[in-house]
Amino acid sequence: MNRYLLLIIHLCLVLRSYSQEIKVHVYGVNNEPLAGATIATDHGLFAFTNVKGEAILKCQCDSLIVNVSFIGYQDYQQKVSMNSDLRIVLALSNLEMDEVEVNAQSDKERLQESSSTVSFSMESVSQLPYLLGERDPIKFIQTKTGVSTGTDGNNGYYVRGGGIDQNAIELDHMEFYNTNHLLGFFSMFSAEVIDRADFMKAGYPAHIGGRLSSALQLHSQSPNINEVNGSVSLGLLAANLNLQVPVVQEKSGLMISYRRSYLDLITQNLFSEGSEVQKSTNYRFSDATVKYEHRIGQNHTLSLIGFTGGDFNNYQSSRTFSNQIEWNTWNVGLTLKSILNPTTDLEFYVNTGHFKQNFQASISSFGIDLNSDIQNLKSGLLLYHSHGAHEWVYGLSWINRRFKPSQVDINTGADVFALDNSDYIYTSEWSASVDDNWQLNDQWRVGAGLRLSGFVHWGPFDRYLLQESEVVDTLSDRSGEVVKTYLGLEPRFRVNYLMNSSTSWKLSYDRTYQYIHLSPLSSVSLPTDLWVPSTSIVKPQNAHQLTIGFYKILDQWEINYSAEIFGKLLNNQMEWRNGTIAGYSDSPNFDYDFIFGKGHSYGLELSVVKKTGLVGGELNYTLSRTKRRFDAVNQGDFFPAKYDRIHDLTLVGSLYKGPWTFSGLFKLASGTALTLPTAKYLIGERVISDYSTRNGLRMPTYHRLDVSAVLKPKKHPNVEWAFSIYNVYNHGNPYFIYFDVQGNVDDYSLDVNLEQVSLFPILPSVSYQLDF
Amino acid sequence: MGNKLLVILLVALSSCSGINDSDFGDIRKVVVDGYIEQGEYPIVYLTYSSGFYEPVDSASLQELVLTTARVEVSDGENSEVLTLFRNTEVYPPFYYRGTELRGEEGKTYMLNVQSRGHEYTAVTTIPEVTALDSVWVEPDLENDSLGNLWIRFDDDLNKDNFYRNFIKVEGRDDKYHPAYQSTITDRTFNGTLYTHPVLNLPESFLDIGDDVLFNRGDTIRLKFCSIDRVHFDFWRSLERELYLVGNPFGSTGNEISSNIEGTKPALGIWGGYGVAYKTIVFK
Repeated sequence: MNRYLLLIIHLCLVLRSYSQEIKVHVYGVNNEPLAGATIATDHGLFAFTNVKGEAILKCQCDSLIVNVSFIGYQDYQQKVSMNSDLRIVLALSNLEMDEVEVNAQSDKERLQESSSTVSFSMESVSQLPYLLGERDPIKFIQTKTGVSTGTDGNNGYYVRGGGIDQNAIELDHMEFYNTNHLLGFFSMFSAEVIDRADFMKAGYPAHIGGRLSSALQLHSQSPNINEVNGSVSLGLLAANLNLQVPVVQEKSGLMISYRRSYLDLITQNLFSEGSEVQKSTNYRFSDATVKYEHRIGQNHTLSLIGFTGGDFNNYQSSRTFSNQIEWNTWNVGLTLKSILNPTTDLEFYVNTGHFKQNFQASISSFGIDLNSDIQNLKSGLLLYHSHGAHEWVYGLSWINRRFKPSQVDINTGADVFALDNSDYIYTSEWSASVDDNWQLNDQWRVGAGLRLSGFVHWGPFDRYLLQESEVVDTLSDRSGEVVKTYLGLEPRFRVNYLMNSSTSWKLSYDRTYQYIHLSPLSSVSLPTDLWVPSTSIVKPQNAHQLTIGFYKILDQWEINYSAEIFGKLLNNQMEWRNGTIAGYSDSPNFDYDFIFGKGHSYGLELSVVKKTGLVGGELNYTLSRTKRRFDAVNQGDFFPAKYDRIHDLTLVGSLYKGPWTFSGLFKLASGTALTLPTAKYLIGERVISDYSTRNGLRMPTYHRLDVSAVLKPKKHPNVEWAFSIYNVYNHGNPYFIYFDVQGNVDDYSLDVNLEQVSLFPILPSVSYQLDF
Repeated sequence: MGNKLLVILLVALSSCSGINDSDFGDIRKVVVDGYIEQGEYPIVYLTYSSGFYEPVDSASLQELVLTTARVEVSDGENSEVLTLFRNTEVYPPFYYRGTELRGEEGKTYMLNVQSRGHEYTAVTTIPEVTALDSVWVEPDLENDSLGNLWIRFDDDLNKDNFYRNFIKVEGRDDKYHPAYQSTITDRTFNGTLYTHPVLNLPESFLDIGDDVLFNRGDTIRLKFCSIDRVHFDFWRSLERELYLVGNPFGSTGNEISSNIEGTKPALGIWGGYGVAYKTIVFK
């Protein structure tokens, strides 16, 4: 075995030593490197430039005729001798550039990347129809293959059969535990703050980790360092102000962005008096971002960012019943990016965050007050180094977190009682990783990485040992003592085979570990779901994922399409023990209330995209199954996870016509799996339901069409009007289904009916934005 | 109409997702609703569960009553086979009741039901009665014609205690009914003199209004019961299910814990009550 390995390595080295190479650097307007430019040669060789605008051509010949092309630029041709560096600045073509959508990442570049990352700029996705006109990076993610939501107003998303907590969402490396506004209808990330986003669901480089299903990395705008600019926008839901001010000309700038809702006005006008929607959406949200960026010399950039976002809802249905929900998040972070030398970049970050939520309910004088919070301190180092055909990334990260999963106070009107489990739980999570992206030759790229991750649960902590639900002993750890540790070895592997200049095959294997868990309390995801860390009872979740994909670009049609198949195995999945109410259980330790099981997910994802030209569009279809198995549920048999969507189709189309952009979005998905009663019985003259198979039934199929029209008047190019209609044909998609019992058993007449609650009827909206 | 369509659609969808008619056919389980109080004869109601989408009319409700079972209660020393009685005022119109054996504080009672070749058993205890220290009504601050009912009792420090409240307002209710959120656990107040609000049962669990309070002039009869853990778990999980009525903001696990063991799966409860009574007039 070892001999074969040596032989392969030897062959690779020999092949490399015989080839000669040309390094090509391609630049566009303002000497910006052009990523994804196509380089073709007279010897039939071809390549695409990377993010730095570079490509390497290898040939056992003396010279090559190189032809460089990039959309929107004039082609360039030159004869070059081997072992030289070629620097090319492309000239703009005479094409009408207004109508060409520029994306953060070109298709050609994606074709040869070994990981399957979706990168986009907020600019490029701003013209889609959004709910009430609020542009939202997370809503855009939800149109992609393998990403499902199912019901209206679910801001969390499920990637390839994973739970909401299995998606990492980071803004400039800051970790978020909740990104929802308005019970999940919008994200906390205002479009004005976000510059671009990278979304990964497979083929992770080794420095990406900590969650099982996906990583969304949001990058904030860099403040303008040359002149004052900004924007004011006003939609039906919220008003937004964004201001960018240079602090030191050409060196540093400041960005301030603030958004606040005035939803009360909408719910009072659009919905009938006393309606459920009106009562349940009577609330406010706001978010703010402040960023200062300073350039130190040519090679260093220091940025400081502060973010805060929160919601407050007070719902009072009558004098005797009220319910208050509040959640807030704030983060502060510092990032230093340095170019150490032409082949080495360094990124260092340190940040801290706090997420806090409070839930209060009271009936008459009786009240419940549930609090939960998480605080973290995170830092990390990333070193990017390119050497010949290798691109190395070294990563180190450390996060300290302290959790208070649930502190419950009960107010009887006469006394206030604090329940147990109100102490903080202290944890650390760390990782060290190395990853290499190796371009073996023009056709093969291999990415291989190894991530070592670890987790520590620190004292103080009291573990109550139970025997037949009675505490028989207590193990106490003092502050600073190690209660429990875990280690995870996460190999990553990616291969990309570029068959020709328009076709590629990709394969990836990912092993991932996750040490923090969200425990969903109810069948819809809410910001009130509780985050808990791993403990000696709650083992880290882990997954294996295998993906094989085929990618094709049809140049003549300006279309690319892809097909991916994936399989995923999930271990240590968690649910609440049947019938547990958070904070109400008799368990002396919070983690005794959970049960653990396994899951798997597999599927096919098809995507057809046309990005350029007067008509653009995207069709994304996912066929998949996701199942779970818990010993204590469903007699230990596999059952569909609640986010099991067999079919999920999204169709997006855009038409560019003069100053107008028209877009449409159509969504069709299998209904959410849910547990409904299969039998009923009577106890004390009340009708009680008897449930059978977990998630054995499905809500009706979900479908919806949204349209939008965006106008940028030629005379006022800094003004933008966006008109949109959500749910054009006013289809009542089920948000939840409940049963209603009418009549009286004493009179021998009972009427049991299933009732459907739908959230959004047809919703027209208009928003206005002024850039200055 | 829309609802009916939805039901049809759901039934159609359910057949796609692997639930077939035979599952529905075999769904029928024996449901036990039995209790024993100190100084009283045991009472057991027996019915069958029925398919969720099956019609509920007079004929089908009659059909769900189980009148041919052999029901036996024993305290370990004495036992009695209960007699079938008829009471058309309530549903089910038949119940099994003892005529000799009466409940006693601190004793354990075994239930044995035999029907159609199957046997169902359950065990419960009548805990010692916890006396009520005081009961009073406090007028509502905003509307003094309404009032909150309060109870105070001394909880035993050395035991895990569980309680359940029943209410009967003279002239309005013809029998005792459970209070809203009728169960209490002493987890938060073990061993203290504890004060607790008792809420009246609202008309609708989806829209709770002033009807959880009492009206001036009401004569309120309160039945304050000590129950054991299993009995408490049943009513707590049942009430939660009842109040949530499938609301997704509720829990993911909707199953109600039952203490009925059978040679075939069964539902329901066999529970003992240690009862203290009190009457108060809201003047």
